[in-house]
Amino acid sequence: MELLTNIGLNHYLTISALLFGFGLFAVMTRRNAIVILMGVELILNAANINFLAFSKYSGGMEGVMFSLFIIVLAAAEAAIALAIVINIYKIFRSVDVSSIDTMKE
Amino acid sequence: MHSLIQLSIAVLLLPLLSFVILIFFNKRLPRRGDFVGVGILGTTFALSFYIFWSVVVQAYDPAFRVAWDFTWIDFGNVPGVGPLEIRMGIVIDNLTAIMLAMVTLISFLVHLYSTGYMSGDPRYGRFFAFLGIFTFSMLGIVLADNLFAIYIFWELVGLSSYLLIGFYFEKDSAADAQKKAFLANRVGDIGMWLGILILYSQFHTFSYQEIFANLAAGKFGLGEAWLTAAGILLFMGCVGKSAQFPLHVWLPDAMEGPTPVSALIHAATMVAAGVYFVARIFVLLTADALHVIAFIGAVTAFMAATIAITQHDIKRVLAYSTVSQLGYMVLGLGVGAYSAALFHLVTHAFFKACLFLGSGAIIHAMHHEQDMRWMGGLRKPMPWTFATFTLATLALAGLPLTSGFMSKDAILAGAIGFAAAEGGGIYWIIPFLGFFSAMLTAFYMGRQIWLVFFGESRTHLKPADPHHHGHDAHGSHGHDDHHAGESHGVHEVAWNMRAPLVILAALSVFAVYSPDPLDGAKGWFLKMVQTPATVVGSPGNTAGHESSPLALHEGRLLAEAVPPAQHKAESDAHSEGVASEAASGVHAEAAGAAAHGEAHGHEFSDPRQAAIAHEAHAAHWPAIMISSVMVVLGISLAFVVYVFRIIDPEKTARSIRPLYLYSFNKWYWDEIYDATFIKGSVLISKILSWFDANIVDGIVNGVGAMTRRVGFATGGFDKYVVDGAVNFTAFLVNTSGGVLRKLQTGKVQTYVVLLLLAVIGYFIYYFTQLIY
Amino acid sequence: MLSLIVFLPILAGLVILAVPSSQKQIIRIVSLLAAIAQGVLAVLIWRGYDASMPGIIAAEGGAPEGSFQFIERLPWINLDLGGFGSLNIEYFLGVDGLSITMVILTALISIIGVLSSWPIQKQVKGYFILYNLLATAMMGCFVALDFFLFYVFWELMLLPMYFLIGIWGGPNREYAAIKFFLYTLFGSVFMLLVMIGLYFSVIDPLTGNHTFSLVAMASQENYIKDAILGPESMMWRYAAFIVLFVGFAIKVPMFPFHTWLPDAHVEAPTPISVILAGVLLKLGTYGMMRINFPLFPEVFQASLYAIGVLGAINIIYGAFCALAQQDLKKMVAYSSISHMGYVLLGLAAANSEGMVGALYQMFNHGTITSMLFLLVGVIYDRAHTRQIDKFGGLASYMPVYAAVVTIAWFASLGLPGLSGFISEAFVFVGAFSSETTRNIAIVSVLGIVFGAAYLLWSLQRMFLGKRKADAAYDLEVDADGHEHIHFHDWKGKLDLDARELVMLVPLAVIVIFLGIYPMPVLGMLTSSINKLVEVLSPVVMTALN
Repeated sequence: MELLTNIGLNHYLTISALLFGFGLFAVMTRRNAIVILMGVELILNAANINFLAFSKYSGGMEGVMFSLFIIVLAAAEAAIALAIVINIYKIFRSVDVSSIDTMKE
Repeated sequence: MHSLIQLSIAVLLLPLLSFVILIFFNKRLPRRGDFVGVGILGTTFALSFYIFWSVVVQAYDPAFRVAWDFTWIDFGNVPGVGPLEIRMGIVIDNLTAIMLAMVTLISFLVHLYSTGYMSGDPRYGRFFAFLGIFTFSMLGIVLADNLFAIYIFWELVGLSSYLLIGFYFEKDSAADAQKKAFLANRVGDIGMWLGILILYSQFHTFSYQEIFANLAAGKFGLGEAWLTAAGILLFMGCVGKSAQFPLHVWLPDAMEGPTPVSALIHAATMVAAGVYFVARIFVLLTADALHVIAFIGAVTAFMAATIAITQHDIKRVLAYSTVSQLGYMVLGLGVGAYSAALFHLVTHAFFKACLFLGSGAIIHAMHHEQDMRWMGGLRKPMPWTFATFTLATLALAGLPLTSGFMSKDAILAGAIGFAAAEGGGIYWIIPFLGFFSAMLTAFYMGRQIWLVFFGESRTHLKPADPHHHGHDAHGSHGHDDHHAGESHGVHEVAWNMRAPLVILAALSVFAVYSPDPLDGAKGWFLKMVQTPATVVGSPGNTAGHESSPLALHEGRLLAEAVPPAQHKAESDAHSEGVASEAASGVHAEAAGAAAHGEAHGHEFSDPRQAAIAHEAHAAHWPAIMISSVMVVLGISLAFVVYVFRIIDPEKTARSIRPLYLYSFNKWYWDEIYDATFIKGSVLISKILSWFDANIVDGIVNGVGAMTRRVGFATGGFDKYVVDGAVNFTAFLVNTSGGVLRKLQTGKVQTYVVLLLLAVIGYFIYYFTQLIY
Repeated sequence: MLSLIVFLPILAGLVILAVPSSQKQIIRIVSLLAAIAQGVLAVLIWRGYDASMPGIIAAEGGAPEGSFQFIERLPWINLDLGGFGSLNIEYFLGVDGLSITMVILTALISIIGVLSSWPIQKQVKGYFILYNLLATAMMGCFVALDFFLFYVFWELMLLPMYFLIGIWGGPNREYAAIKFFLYTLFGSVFMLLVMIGLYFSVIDPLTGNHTFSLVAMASQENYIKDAILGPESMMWRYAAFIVLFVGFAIKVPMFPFHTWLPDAHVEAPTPISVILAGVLLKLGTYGMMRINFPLFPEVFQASLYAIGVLGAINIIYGAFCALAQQDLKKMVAYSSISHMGYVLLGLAAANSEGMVGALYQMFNHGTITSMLFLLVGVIYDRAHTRQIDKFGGLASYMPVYAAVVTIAWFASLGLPGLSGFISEAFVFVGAFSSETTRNIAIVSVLGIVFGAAYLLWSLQRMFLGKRKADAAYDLEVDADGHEHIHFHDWKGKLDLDARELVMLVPLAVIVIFLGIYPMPVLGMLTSSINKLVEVLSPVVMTALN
């Protein structure tokens, strides 16, 4: 119970680190562009948790503002990224990032 | 403003009005507006005659002078000079008044005459317009009070002369003649212009009065040689306009113009403008300049007279006689017979206008035949013309009882006086040529009278020549029976052409000018127009002439005999009463001279003038004797040759063929000028044009081509060196890039892994640092 | 006021840009209205001009006000160049006696030019846009008092001129256009260097900064003592003077830099010839009077004889070359060279009479030569040839044309009563009064004779006599026996038509009026010229030393 009632900064940071790790793992290992995108979202949310946690424990409102920005930004980013993915799919008939390498040469 | 000035402005501007009306509206006016021209000129003459009457007859004062001027150009406050204005103005003295009356009278008569002579011409109205602008310009010359104005009108008479000589511009000969006249005049004009520039550059004024006053005060800073040069250069204007040797060649050709024009412009008025101009600047001519003028005049008089002997064209004989008579006037001015020369100007204007108008009547009646060889026997059908023509001829030849006798005699007496006063020697050439030319004049005029009026008609002798120059002068005249041409087809001309002849002939009688037929000095003209005192030093008493002291002495002793001008000015040199003397002096110039004389004491140069005048006075009777003998000799010779046929002219001409040809071809001046100046100018222009197109422009294009070569060279450098370096750099970058790009997989995951590895690596490094 | 007169044509150009290119008449009318408006403005400026203010240099105390008029002065470009200091370029307009004469001339010739452009059918829109650009540039040159601004207008003039000759010209137009362009550019490149050198040598007495103001540059006390073009570096001042002189002399054009002119004229369409001869040539001599001489008065004084000799060469050489030409337009072009020589001679006299004559000659040459080129254009339109020998007897068939030609030709040969005479006369008066140029004046007087020779000879060959066998027109005799001529493919009126009269008659009236009473123009410029002569006089230079 103590764990449930006495939740401190460390708990938030731990969760955040875990989320970040999952996200990074997804981004690094998966080939499906949509999954990579989901990983990016996880990383962003990990950052959000960090901002809010620091905000709560330092007393200012800056962290809250930043997190609001990040949420908006994430939404926009997701929309644009999905649009790109859809276009890529239209052209290459695939969302596998390793197969999209025409700009290499 | 003096009322005479107002009148003279009206006199000046009325002919211009005539020009403006006629040039724009002649086609819309009845009779092509000839009545406008005649009417306006009649009015102008009436006004001029009023001026003449008030000045010469009523005032009867040798020193009469009114002037008026206005600012024409204001230069403001010029650095180094001060306030500078160019003023224009009018001056009226006795000479001006006489000239005004003469010019407007002849112009009026020529207008009247032209209503007959030119009738039916397609450009009838334009003819009167051109006469109008000529009269305007000529009156401008007469009235001008400064050198700039006279130069302006000088060129404007040149323009009107150009337009009128080329009135029948369809004829190539007329177009050639008008161009020749203008260009020959221009050559003279540039000399005149340079003369004006010399005077202006010293005094910053164009006004006669101010220039004379400055000269008299000894302010001329360039020295005697420049002053002589100025005089000779100014005289060059006269050489061009008055057709003096060596620029005389244009005047005979100018006879391509209609005959009334020849009478008005090329005999009576415009060509005399040169003489008038020299008279205006007479006081600033140095003795050396006067010598040049005298010799030019003598040579011209003689040369033209020799040419006139052999010409066939009735107008050409008169043209050369005009040149010859103008030579007399110039000679007269050169020898210091100022009044006589101007007297001759006026008398000559009347009788020569009469001769030309008479020849015009003959040409008109003969259906544009001008060659005297095919005339003859006109005495009976044309009695009026015959009578007036003969009277004028006698005046030209200089027979007693005519005006020409008095004026020519005065000039020749002056020439003798000059030669005597200058110490003889080479100067005797001048009177000699004068008398010899008088004989030639009598001879060729006798020849002309005989060929034209006496004997039988020779019209039928004329060879059929379709290209004869008189043929197509008028487009509209009926000349169907031109070649048939029996003399019974010839009739006396109508009243409007006859009246001018009669008036002009009447003005050739001695009584108009002097009560004594043998002595012009008793008449009003020589009393009213008197030699002004010079404003420049004469070398007469410094250059060591033997006769100088004597001349000075006699000049004083005979003060009664010399005209008042010299007397006054001379006595000024010794008396204090400058103001009163100036008031009674002949011209205001005399006052200037007096001031000069006072300032410089005995350097004042009047003795030379006085000596010449004295000698001339003494030579009066000898001159009359010699010239009468010469004239009688000349006329007798003409009778011997042409009437009694004791000497056959053809045979004589053959026996002295080179001389005859020399005279007949006008001393070959046209050919000489054509071969030298005209061909030379054209050649130079061709050479320079070639030079311009090939050398100057060649250099430009060469520079252009060279720039292109250089461009190619630098282009090569650019291609192989500069661009080579660039390409080498690119090659290096390319190869190194080939290696490095292996790292660039283009996969985000690779980069993320690398990033993570880097971060981890950094942490490892950081912690190891922390540990150690 | 001045800004308006300068930029009105460009506004008209913008309006034309919006008009569809098929609406040719509207385009022409817009241009004409702009030119007329410019003319009205010029008249207003003329009426409002106070002839007693001298110009040339600043008034007492260093301010241009009180000396120049209609001044407009704004800071334009201010750049900080770090170690080089700062660059202060002003938009600085104003007029004095030198410029107002040329402003009036430019406005007048612009109107004439638009009228004579009426028959142009090829790419009308482009033509008039370029034309208006040219009009702005010309006017700008004459009113600019900032050297940089002057330079901008000067270069701006080149571009439209290049295209107007190169597109609308005769058969050899590209060659002529590029020749004109390169020649003029060659001159102006060095001008740029001198301009920068001057900038760093001159201090505006009012602000204490470096300045491009020509007003400040014209006063020698504003020069920094040890600057590159300061009073002590004589070598550089001589070099700068010569370089500027060559730059302006190309525009005049002066021998031996004149060969672009005959080519440009022969190829250019009539209105461009009119502008070229009427206005552009004056920029050369205007530049000398405004910039070249007052900025380097001591060098000017040292080179009077050389300038006079070059002027005399122009006069006589141009006249001889004109005498040899078969192409009427080329003859007129060489006559321009000859007549601009009088301007140089007048300038070399370095006294008021000569300089007044020179400036007045610039004005008169503008009006007279415009007439000459218009008249050449009239006959070229009809006959499609300009060979003098292809005509003959035209005076019988085209009397009005012959009359106007006679007026123009006689004006050109300097007949008294027509304006050209007065200017030439005072050029000679001035040149003769100056002891330096006296001998040159004596030689140059020959130009009067040869000028008369080529003009009268061409007049005779074209207008007098009868039709020649190989003439460019046919002769017909009608039932009444009257002779008529017609040109092969000319549908218009044989003699001058209304449009041609509208162009020529005002010019003729101006030429005659200013020949009889020159004060309306001379009154404006005498005080400026007197000031200029004072500025240039050696006395001032000794004060400097």
